[in-house]
Amino acid sequence: MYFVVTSWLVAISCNSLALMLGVSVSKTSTVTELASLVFFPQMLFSGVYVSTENIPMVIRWAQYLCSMKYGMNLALYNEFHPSMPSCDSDPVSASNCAAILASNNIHSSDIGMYIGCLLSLFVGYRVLAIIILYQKAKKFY
Amino acid sequence: MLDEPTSGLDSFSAYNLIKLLQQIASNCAILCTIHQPSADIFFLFDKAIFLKDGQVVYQGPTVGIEEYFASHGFTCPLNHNPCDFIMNLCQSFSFKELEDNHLVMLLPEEYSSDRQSTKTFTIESIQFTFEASFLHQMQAIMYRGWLDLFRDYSTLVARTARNVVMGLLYGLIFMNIGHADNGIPDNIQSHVGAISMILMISMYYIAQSGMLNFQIERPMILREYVTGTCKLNSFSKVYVMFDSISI
Repeated sequence: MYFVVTSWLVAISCNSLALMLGVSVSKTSTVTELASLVFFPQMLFSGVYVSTENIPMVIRWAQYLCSMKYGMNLALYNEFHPSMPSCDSDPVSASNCAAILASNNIHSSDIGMYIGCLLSLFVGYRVLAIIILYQKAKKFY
Repeated sequence: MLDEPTSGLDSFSAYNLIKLLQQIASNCAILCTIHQPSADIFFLFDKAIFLKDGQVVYQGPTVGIEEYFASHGFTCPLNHNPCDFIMNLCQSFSFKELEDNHLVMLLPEEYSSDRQSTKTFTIESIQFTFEASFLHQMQAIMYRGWLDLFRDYSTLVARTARNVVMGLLYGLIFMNIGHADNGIPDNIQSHVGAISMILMISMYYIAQSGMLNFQIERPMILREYVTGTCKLNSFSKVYVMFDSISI
């Protein structure tokens, strides 16, 4: 159940980012070229392919703009938190689960923050999209 | 009043149309411009006016038009469309030459342009008024988006099929991963992989469908703005707020 909600939150915030991209250019071909700019940073910063500790400090700030990071953290917590039966069964599993949560720097106290960040990304990108549309409309006529 | 009612029609349809107009003309007066009428159509008209450079070359009944021009020295060749002949005439000769041959009918005195007109017309400047209220506009745009969603049948089917297929694929590939023993590193890696992939597809497809909507709707938005139907403001708000409904 929580996973579905997480998935929905990630989807709408990414939709907002794609929307902001979509309204900033006028031609369809330009949008398709720039589409990968929306998706691949999300995948890279989510912590699946490279641990966020290994990303250089120069670029590490960008992870806070990616909705996928918060979604992954929420989903991983939901799946691997210490009171889950699959993590409780034996010490090896427990340590593995704890290792996953630790490597992504997930704490139970941060859950509310992650949800808040996802919602604010959703709202923030849409507001930026409206601003961009407004600027474009002023320049058009 | 009709403006070139026969343009684009073949000769038989044009003839039928003018014949119908002739029947209607028994009850009212009909004025039309016509482009290259065939001879049978030309003689269905009661009167004709030919203009060149703003002056009248001929005004009168169509019957006897060939005799009128012949009397001024321009005989219509046999089996030739008199209307085409007169048009050729007007365009081949300059206005001066036509005047010398008394082919220009002078306007009566009261319509002469030298005399100052006492009637003046003013055209009021056109004001852009947005007739519908903001809420009303938003409602209309939302309703149109809603209809658009369900009328685009092939896209809807494709989207459903894609979701079903991807769901089945992921379900089969990651079957029972959640219940596997987390002690084994392979299992836990697959577990994490499953979560990340599911989040990724939910992100990707929904974002992708939201990206191109603006480009597709842009010509329509511009057209409606120019004709004064909708404000750009209402478009932007509806578009940004309710685009996520397509999820």
